[in-house]
Amino acid sequence: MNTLIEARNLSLRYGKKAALQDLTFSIPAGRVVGLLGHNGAGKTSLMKTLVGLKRPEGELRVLGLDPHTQRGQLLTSLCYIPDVAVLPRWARVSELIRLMEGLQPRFSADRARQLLRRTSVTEKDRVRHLSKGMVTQLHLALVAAIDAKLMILDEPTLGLDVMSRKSFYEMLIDEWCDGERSVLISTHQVEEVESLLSDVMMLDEGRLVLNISLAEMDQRFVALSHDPEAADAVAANHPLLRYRTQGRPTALFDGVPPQSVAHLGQRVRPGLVELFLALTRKPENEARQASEA
Amino acid sequence: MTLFNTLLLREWLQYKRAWIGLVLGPVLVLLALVPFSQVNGVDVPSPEPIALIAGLITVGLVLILSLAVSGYQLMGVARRDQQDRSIEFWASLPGSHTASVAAPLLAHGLLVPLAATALAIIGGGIVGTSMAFKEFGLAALHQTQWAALFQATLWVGLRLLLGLAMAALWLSPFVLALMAASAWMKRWGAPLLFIAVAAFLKIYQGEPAAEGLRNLLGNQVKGAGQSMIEGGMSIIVKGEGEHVDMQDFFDMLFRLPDAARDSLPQVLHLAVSPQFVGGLVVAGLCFTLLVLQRRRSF
Repeated sequence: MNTLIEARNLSLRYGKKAALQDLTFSIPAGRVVGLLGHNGAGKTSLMKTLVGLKRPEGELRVLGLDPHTQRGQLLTSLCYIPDVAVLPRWARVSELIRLMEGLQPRFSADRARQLLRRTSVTEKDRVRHLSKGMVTQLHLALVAAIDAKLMILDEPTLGLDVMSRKSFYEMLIDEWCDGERSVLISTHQVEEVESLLSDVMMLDEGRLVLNISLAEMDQRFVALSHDPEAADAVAANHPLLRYRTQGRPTALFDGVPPQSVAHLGQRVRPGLVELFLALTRKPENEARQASEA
Repeated sequence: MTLFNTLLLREWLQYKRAWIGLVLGPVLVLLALVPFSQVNGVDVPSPEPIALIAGLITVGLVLILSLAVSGYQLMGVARRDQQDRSIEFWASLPGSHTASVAAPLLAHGLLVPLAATALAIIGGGIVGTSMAFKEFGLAALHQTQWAALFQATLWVGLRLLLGLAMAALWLSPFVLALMAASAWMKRWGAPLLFIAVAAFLKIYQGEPAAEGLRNLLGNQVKGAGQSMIEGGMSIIVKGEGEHVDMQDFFDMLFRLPDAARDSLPQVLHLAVSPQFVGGLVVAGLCFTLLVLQRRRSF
């Protein structure tokens, strides 16, 4: 399978603080990968490293290129939305199209105009007069008009209402994802993107705590929905997380639940949110590790 | 369109209204003032001096304004896209940090003053003609030495444009040093650098290092000045009391094209000096600092 991103022992430091610690992963073509993590987990640092704006330690190849030394060449085959609010406010949409044509050799102005027709944004509009949702739609339309193999989106729907987010994801899936291209998207709206993703990566304090396809996730992690009376028995087996599903206590296990509790409830599909909480909650993780020790 | 040209296009798209206003504004204001203007204190029997002086005033005004505006813009170039975070948009597109710094520097530091001056020469011609018409009427304009005026304007204009370009290069170490200081130390950078240098020269006055620096800086400014006005060109007309000596004036007018043409190679010759090359080296180092600051800003 064609691998678009290959990282080995990737680390990045800001002075004494480690933003990324020893990440090893690969992203093949045709995948929609969700990058999840709390604020400060390292998502933006990782994305900036992938597009050559930060120089890490370790090995990193993106589309077969070194992002730091071959950044110009890399950016001709990759699209990146760093943040929705970054379009130049002085520019008209027509001017942005003109500039993209000159700066991005794989950009198609006709395609951008075609995508813009799906939105309420016109070419005469100035960015400063657009709402946040419209700026997002515009940015995505510009970026989706680039014939690239990889799209990197850093919290693209931050601050948008639900309708704008829905429009964004529809445009992304309908107009961009064709089975050959890959998307790496970081977001806090875990539930919303779960249905779009093929893979998920979770960062916690710069470490990659999970890198798995959703199909494998369903097989590996088991949630057990049980009666309240069985709570103590279930808790004694140290689940990753205890929560409620439709009002019933539920426990999340990494792997098949122990025989002693498996019969106490019924298996349900764990949500990505629960898995994210289970793997990235620091005090609970430390307590669990201490008790296991 | 090449990537660098697109970065220059960006400057035009962002600032075109200001740039057009920079040239049109003074020309239109001066044109509006023509009906209310008058030549006082000097008896000028012919339209040519009026046209020439009015034209020079126009060009001078636009040049001063464009240099002031360019200087102001350049000080903010390093940080201008960081306030609205659009720097991240530009960095998400192909284009090196070097090109992204060089394009606005070229646009604001050289192309805008040159273009403004070139257009001001045309504007100055219109203002000068209007002023001459106002003073002498249409009949006198038919007898005006247009060919001589045109030739003088053309060659003095070319001399001015070349001199401006070379003066920009002579002043580039100052400009880029201030830009680098602004980039690294934000709004206090340029004032601090200025104060630091002035304080050093004052405190260590008489010491070899301070005197050496004073001479270097002075020679650099002198080089810029000589680029603009060296070469034996002069627009000086003598007169007796209130009367302009027209023979003197026309002698000067007809001499101007040759004088301007002859001084062109002298402007270039001035640049063949260790002082000029050293200045460019310093400018290059400051440019590197600007690129480095941009690279670090993500």
